[in-house]
Amino acid sequence: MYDPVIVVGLGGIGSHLVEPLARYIVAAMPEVTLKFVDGDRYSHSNLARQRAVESHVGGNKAEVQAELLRRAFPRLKVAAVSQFIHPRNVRDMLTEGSCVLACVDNHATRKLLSDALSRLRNGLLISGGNELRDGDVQVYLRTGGKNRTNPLDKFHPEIAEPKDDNPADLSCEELEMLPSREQIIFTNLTAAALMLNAFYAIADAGHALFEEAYFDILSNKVNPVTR
Amino acid sequence: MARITCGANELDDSRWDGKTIEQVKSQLKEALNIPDNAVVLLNGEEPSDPGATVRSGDELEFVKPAGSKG
Repeated sequence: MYDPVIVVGLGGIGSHLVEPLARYIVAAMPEVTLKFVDGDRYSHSNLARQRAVESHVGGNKAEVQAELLRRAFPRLKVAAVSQFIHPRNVRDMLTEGSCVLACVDNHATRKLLSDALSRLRNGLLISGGNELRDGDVQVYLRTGGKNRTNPLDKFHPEIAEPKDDNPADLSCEELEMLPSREQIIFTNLTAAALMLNAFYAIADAGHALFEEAYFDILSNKVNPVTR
Repeated sequence: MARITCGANELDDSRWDGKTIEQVKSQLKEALNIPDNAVVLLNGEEPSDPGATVRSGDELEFVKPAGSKG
């Protein structure tokens, strides 16, 4: 049993992932605490793709989603952390037995989370990412102090040596200046669904069935890879 | 028959048996959308010999970079 279950990033993937995740946790593992982590705020440009409405604009993403789910599921144990993951808080955030669902938009944070998980005896990191019409879900599982699957950066030099910035290192002005990168809500939804499938498979079966699953929404193909 | 994959794309075909990894990569670059800088895994491991050939039953993966957005 993983506890807490931490969702990092409540944007295109994360905002769609949390409602079914919360529904499953309330029914199947009600003692587990769900924790949302995001330092960003909803803006008008997010509304076309992310699970938020006009009244949420300006609100912190983690706090907005936590409040929505508190109302929908009064028995759910849910907490919001209105910060980006950064080197100073990541160790406090990832405690023994954590499960992290990383729905972030930069490889710098993926690397940080993968490195932090590698220091735990037991933990699970499921990371989703996408481009316009395709993407992937990676599973990094540790049990008994050993890697059961590879860290996120093992065969991914773009994560091992990220060229992007951790948003925690950027000022508000710099965050607003980041280029808007085109995405499609259906690609985000596919990543969210595959991440939840991985969470269910490991929570239920106790081991990773794949290390990485690639998907393409135009062909509707999913290719799970074990290395 | 070797299995060649890159991202969600995959191909099972005996015509690649006996070809070098570089030959497979150059001939399938467009069909499988293989990035120039893709890490190569032969049966789950990075081949020590850059001139390694693909044999029937092998799994050759050109590791597609992870999606960056979310």
